[in-house]
Amino acid sequence: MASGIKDKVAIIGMGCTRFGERWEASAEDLMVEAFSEALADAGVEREQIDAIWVGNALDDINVGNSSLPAAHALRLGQIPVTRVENMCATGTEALRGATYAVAAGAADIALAIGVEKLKDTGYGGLPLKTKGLLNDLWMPYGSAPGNFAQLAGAYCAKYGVDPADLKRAMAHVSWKSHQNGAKSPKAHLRAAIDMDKILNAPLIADPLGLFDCCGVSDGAAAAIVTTPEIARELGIGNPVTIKAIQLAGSNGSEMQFGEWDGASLINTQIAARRAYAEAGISDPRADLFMTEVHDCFSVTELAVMEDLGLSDPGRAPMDILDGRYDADGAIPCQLDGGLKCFGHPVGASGLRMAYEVYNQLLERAGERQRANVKFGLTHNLGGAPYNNIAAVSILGRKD
Amino acid sequence: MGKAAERFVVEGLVEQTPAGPRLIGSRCRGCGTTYFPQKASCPNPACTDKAPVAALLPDQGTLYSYTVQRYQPPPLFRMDGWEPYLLGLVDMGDGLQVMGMLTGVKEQEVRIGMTLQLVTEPLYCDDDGTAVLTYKFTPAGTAL
Repeated sequence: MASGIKDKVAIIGMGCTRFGERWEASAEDLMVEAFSEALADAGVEREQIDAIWVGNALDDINVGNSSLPAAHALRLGQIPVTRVENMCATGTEALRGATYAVAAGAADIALAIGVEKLKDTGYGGLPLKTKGLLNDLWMPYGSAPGNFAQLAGAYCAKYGVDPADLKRAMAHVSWKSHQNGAKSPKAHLRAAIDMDKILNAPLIADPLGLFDCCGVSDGAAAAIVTTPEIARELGIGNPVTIKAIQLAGSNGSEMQFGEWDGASLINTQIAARRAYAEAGISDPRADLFMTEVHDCFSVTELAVMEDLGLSDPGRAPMDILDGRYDADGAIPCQLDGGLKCFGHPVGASGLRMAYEVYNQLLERAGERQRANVKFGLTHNLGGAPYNNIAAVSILGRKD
Repeated sequence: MGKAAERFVVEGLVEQTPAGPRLIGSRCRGCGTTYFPQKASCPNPACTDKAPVAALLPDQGTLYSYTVQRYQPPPLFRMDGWEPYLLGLVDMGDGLQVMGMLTGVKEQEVRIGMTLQLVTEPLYCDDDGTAVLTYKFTPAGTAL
């Protein structure tokens, strides 16, 4: 394996907008808001930024094509600016681009920024852009909830789990995230929700009810990265560093030529394994202090706990109900409320997750702060269970 | 009066055979991989032949998982008389899975592992009166 990027790149500043229905703010305004916070946090001047990676997944909605909307919004000099898109892993992909530029010595200081503005599409959920046999119409029968919901049936069939028990575990996932999100000033949905209300909510795609689904939001988040040496010169002696960023993408094996069980996320397993190796983590259950995972739906988070190796296969429902991933559990998941409460402005989500880990590592997380966080993991999943990009990153401190 | 005009949501998706509808996939003559929908070339990099030919998939499959789609997907989705529908992932053999709507079965009767038969049904009526058909799956033995 390549030597990887462990500790080669430091995050010296981050910013994140309030996520939500940001009718008053354009996509450009959101980028400026996240960038301004990151710049102030880093204590650098905008002229010191050598390159930008901007993540935006749905360019036809508000933001616009290419990297130029970011260059215009942020009024940076005529520096290299690159737009990246990798479905729901887009935010992490932007961070990966900026990180690699710094690790390669191509930039001293680089900016990763992700933005999405989705609330004014006129419908709920995400647009359907299924590309198939010569046109887009042949299989537009699913939806994000419709695709992910089928993890639940396959999971119950594989492990012999009573659907009612799975539903309770799924409800606990959402209950826990809402408990946490209520303490997140920048979250979209900031209310604790009763378990009964979650269990009895209208169904969206069985067995997913309303509270099993994440929100749709407007938002932006940004990270400024540099080398640990430059960070030290800037007066940041023990910066947050990137321990690993790994991606794995489907090649068709799930639905075409593999042995997929329909109940797990193969790419998440692979990306996590690589990320642990890159970060030098041999036992994630002992070494990880927190995770921010892609809880587009409660059942996704449940499956991801196994795919990250944090629960044994077939055990995630029990571990969840035991409180293992609660804010005061062994490995808290979604300390900020997750996609459940922040919603999912696609291009921003990966960086929003990193923002929470960054703040936990720097002990700036306010009433959500966990003691002694040494490593945190973020996980994105772009696409559907049968066809996706998984991104796993691990952040820690340099020393 | 002649038979009302019909077409499928997209050409090249379904073939109406005397024994009933079949999905049209591709099978590579080189490596044997089966694809659905059809592929113009075999993307398997280990394959040197790259010669997929149209191949009718089995008319039956096994239900892998399912859900009920309870809200109407946004356009480009189109369906007359929209109401929630069962949506399933169906194992067609050879490692190939196909997602499709389920019909002729109540949610309470759906069982993972059940054998399903391919059928076609109208999805919507086009502006010129053409019935636009799609494929669906129904419990084997119940198809008319």
